[in-house]
Amino acid sequence: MTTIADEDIVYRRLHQNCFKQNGAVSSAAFKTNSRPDNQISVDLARLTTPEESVNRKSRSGFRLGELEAGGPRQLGFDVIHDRQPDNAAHSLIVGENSAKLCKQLALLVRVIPDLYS
Amino acid sequence: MIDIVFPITDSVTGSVDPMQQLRGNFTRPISSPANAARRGRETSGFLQNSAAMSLLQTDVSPIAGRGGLPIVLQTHSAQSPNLLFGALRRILEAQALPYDWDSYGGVGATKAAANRAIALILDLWKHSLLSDDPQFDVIPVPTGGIQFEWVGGNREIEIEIDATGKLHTLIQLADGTYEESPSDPPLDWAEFRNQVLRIIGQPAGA
Repeated sequence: MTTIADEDIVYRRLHQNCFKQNGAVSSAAFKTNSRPDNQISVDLARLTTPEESVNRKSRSGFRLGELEAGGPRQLGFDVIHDRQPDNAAHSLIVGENSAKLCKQLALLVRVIPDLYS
Repeated sequence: MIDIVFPITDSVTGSVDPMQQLRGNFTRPISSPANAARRGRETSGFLQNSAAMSLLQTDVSPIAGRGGLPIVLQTHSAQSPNLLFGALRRILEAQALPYDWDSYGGVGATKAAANRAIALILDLWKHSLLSDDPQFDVIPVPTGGIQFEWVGGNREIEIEIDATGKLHTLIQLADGTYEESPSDPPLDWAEFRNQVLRIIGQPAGA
């Protein structure tokens, strides 16, 4: 398993529905329906590319957000590598989540310009 | 599914707004103005929410269009209906989202969430609290809910209607701190309304 440093970048796919009118990312982007609920899937940037990550589901309508692993850790989360058979870069933001933390995660995100699935 | 088209006459400006196309779940075409009038009342049932239908019947007078469709709804509110119908459309779109729409296992809004969201939107509009200033967004939540977000000056408020229809709020204050509603018990309308008023700049209880 790969160790993720605070300076490492992780990617999160962002559906167009997750953007507000002013272009900001909504906290809803981090309210996940995965099981269990307190694991947010991301891709470790150095094990993939932005193009591969945003197109991983082969569907249109997505943009790609990036944030440093240290950001979620400062909020109390852990960021761990979780390699999957179909995604070597798969990682998780793990920890007890809340509406406030989802909002704070959204504020950490930088949307990569000019990149769409 | 039959597409029902509503041209909306703005009661303030008198202008006819662009055709608002919404989807209704009807099986019979409208064949006469009388049917259109009746269907106009029923059409509001596309919201499939008894409270919403009641509100529309009392505050929005359906007027039969010639030859049936389109149906004209003349509003009695000083607010433009465009924002209302835009929000309603967004709620219906959230309900229609497929599984995994967000690529992380997200689901569309549940019926409970959509019905509660529609009722809230209509209440906000009825009380002239639905405005594009400050900025207002309707965001689907991957857990089956719907989220309303206002960004006003240096304050923000999120109202999440969860998959069961319960309300939760998160307010970001000017100093960067947060107020988060307890998840149990959920908010009631009065508390919800006061929190919205704090953000959009009107005195609470006004």
